[in-house]
Amino acid sequence: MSNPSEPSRHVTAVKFVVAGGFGVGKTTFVGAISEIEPLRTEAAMTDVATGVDDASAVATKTSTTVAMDFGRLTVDRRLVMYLFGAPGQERFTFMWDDLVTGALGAVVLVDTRRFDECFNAVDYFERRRIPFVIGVNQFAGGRHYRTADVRDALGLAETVPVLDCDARLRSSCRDVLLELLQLILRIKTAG
Amino acid sequence: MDDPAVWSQGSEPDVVRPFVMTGGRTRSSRADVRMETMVELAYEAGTRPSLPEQAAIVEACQGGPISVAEVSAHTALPLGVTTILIGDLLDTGVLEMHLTDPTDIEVSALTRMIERVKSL
Ligand SMILES: Nc1nc2c(ncn2[C@@H]2O[C@H](COP(=O)(O)OP(=O)(O)O)[C@@H](O)[C@H]2O)c(=O)[nH]1
Ligand SMILES: [Mg+2]
Repeated sequence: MSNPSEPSRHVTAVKFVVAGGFGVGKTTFVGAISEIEPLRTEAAMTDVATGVDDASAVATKTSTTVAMDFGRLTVDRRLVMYLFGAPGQERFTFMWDDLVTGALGAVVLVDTRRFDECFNAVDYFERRRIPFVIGVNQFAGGRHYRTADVRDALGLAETVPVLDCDARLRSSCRDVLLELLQLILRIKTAG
Repeated sequence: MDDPAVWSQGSEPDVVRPFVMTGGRTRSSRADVRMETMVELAYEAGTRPSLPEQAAIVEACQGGPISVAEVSAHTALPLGVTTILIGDLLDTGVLEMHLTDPTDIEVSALTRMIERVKSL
């Protein structure tokens, strides 16, 4: 609680998005980095309805919701990082504006058996000029792709880092997140 | 964790209830309250919250600065509803916010993040 005689110091909260298709490892990634068990919050489709000031209209709305898992990493008393795992498919874009507004950067996890599931997220971050890195998840049973092949398949600029990522390994998630932070730092210091 | 994205075709009462709490609003009037925004109990709290949901939010804030998303998770209120109710509690002076401008993140903050992540 902020006491005037002992003012609470300002806490800077920064948001990162972990995007990708179903089962690609978003929650696993968030959990690998987070200092707490990933928490869950629900965003409802109704959240984006605008111009509704008549409560009677509410009952006709769809109740479709989407769950987001998120985790936290405290840097120090003044700085906290939040990672939000969010499905990137087209039908979830209703929540993406809220998710991406204020985000410092994003990790897009790619399942090489289902490239198409990440197109939407990649397009979205490119359009919104959100720095992002690609984590390539090589699941057993899929053919092995080199990161260069993935870059070609996704039509990515040379400036977008592409790394292999096994979300079950903390060190692998750490390296992907580090790559993202270093990309953001490069953009910041170049600009 | 279980299913990555839960689709619920909720029954109507479940749909209506959250928006009764918010007086029919589906969108916060405050664009500055985001899911990662940190809020904190004001030292001199204004009006006492009347809704049980607001009281639950205040309860979730007892431990010090906390993000809107964490309040939503701890109270099990949908994110949109939580955002609207927290906006009201900010307007009535019960809560205060720590605003972060993402375009204004300092290089020193980035290097601190990098050091922290390296230590994982
Ligand atoms: N082989 C492999 N399996 C993974 C990887 N990441 C996650 N998994 C597994 O895939 C399943 C789905 O992961 P989850 O994190 O829930 O995916 P989400 O739907 O994107 O949140 C879980 O059983 C994980 O253990 C990975 O990098 N490689
Ligand atoms: Mg998940």
